[in-house]
Amino acid sequence: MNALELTSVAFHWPEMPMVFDLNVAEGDMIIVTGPSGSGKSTLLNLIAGFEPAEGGTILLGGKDCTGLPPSKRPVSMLFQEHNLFGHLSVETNVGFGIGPRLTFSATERTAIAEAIARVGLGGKEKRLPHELSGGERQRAAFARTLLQDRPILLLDEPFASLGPSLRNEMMTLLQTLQTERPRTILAVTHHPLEWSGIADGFVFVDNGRIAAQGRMDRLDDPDVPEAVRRYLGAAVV
Amino acid sequence: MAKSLGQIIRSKRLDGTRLAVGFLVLSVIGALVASAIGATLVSGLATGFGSGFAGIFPAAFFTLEQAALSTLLSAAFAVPVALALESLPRFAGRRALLALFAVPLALPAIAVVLGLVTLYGRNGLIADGLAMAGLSLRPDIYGLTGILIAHVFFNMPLTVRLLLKAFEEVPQEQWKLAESLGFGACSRIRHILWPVMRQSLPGTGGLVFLLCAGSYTIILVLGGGPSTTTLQVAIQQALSFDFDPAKASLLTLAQLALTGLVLAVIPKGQSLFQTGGVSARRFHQAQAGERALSAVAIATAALFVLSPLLAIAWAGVNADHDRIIGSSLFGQAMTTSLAIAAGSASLATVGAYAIAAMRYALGSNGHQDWADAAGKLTTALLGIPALLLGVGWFVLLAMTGRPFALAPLMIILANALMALPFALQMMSTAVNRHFATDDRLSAALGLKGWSRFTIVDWPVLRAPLAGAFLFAAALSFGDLGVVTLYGSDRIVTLPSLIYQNLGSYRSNDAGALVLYLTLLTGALTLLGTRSRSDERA
Repeated sequence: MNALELTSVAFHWPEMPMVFDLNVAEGDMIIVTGPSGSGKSTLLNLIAGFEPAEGGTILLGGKDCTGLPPSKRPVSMLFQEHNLFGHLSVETNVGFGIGPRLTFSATERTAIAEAIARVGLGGKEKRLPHELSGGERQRAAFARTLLQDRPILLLDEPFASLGPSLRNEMMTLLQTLQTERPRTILAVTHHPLEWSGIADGFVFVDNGRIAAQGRMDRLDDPDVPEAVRRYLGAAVV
Repeated sequence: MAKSLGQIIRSKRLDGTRLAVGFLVLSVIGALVASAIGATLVSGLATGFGSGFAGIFPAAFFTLEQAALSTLLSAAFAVPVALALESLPRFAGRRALLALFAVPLALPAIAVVLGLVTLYGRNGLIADGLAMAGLSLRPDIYGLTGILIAHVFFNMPLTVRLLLKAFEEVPQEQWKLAESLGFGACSRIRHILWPVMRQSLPGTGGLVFLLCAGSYTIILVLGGGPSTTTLQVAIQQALSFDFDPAKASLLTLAQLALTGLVLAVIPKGQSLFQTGGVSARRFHQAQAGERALSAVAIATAALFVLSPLLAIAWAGVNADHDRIIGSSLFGQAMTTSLAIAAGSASLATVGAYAIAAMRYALGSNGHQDWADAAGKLTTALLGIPALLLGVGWFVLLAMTGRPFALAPLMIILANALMALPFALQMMSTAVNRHFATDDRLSAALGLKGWSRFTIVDWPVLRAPLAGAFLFAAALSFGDLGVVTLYGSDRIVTLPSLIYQNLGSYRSNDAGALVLYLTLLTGALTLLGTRSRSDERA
């Protein structure tokens, strides 16, 4: 079964009408790439429910979610930054994955501690976000999505503001979490080749449309559309 | 590369001139302020401060008390209104409401006082309306109640605007996150808006407190009784009723000390988010209950701000306009007010231009820190109430035996200094940009002196300079400040004529005069901000 089925999902920016058709199989890790302003973030925002679809249907896990608010969709989302509330501790921020409150039962507290430990932040439960490094902040945000326990995870350039080695660490973490408990992942990136080891497939967005979709190892195939090759440029060769 | 000032003056004649003229202007301003404070101090010491100590503590206490209450009430009213506007991001009247909230800042205090009296007074529209409904309620707006209403009228909208500005700094991601995590209204306020308010409210409250502690006209007209006298009003009473300059000196020093103290302790606002996409976009849908509460808060605030404006119009239109406009006193007041406004606006504009040019010369030669200091020095004028300058110069002239000799000039100077920081702020950007782009070309073409000013500077800077002039004129035209130190037989302006009419219960005439004053200052402000936005476009 497909985890995600978009059929003629329309959204109109004043200058650019967008229509998306997309199917993603359950458990796949797909990167979403394409030129700036082509509609990658809008695609994620439509799936998450931050932008209302002006036409078409969005099926998530086989269920029609087209008109649902973001919190009712089986989707977690991470951004490049500002994923944590600055005045609250790691523990509380992660706890929001269970529910928007500040007090938790003993079982819930154990679950929170386990999630924090799984992303490698054990012992830093009481820290405030500004007392963490950029990578640690993203780890905490990952821990929250573990508690949210939603089958689809959307990543909007989550590692873009991290240095190369931290980015590798985060990729490894993502891979580990994925083998422990697979989710369907869509990750927006401007650096598709960095994902070649771990992603299953790619989606290429151009001019408000899905211009190409395929397995990761087909990125440098001669039959991918011209636009994809132009975007990737010399990086492939 | 930073050059010494001497090097600049020797090597670049134009920047040298800018430095010299700007320095001269700052020195004159410094001398004017220092002489006022110095004269106050000397006269106070020489007479042992007269009988001043008797009234100082009650007046100082009331100054702080009313300022504190005004600040708390403004914030208590503003917070729900700002939250309501946040909870309804797609509310169609938002722009109109924010435009309405900008109006109080441009209104002369005396006009607002009349509007409030017309609305809430003993014989006001509300009391009359209740009487018609068979309810006899005759509220007394004179005293603390009226002062607080007037201060909230001015400062609630200001607080709302500053809060919304702070809310805009919340990154878009946090709003998306809140939606994705299923936050309701309470969680949204608690985890997103409250942290922002906690950061920005102290600074905003400090500003409001400072404005209320320095408020003069409102308290002069609505207060003034033994228990509702602030330091500034006590100063005015000491000079114009008791003719006791020594007492006025002591009170002036107390006010200065108080202002300094407040300036020292008020917290500076700081931003919670260093980076982040500034955005007004919100992703939530408010629930029915939240929407209803928000609508009530917004409607209440709109009514509270709009109704005194309508009352001003109401009070004005019913008067005998032919008789009022035809009276010689009106003609005299109008002429004096226009002359004072023109004089102080000219001084403020020229002074601000000189300081702006000096700051450019400092900044472009590697002395940005000095340019900033000159800007801060000018802004510091805001902390010195015009009334205090008036008192100082009054005392100084009293030493020559003729304290009333230069009254109009004193008013012009005080108003000019009051308007200077605003004028500087309104033209700085344009002046910097113009000099940066056109200095070299002008030098290459050999344009200098007057011909450079008429050919290169004036066509470009006309709009921002006119904007600064008009705004300064509006401030000066509507101000009832220093003029109240002098008796009404000596000098009459439009605001002081209104004050006089209010005092002698000729409220019909006062209403008409307030309408003229409001329309004129409104037109000047509008023209001033218009010509400025033309320049930007």
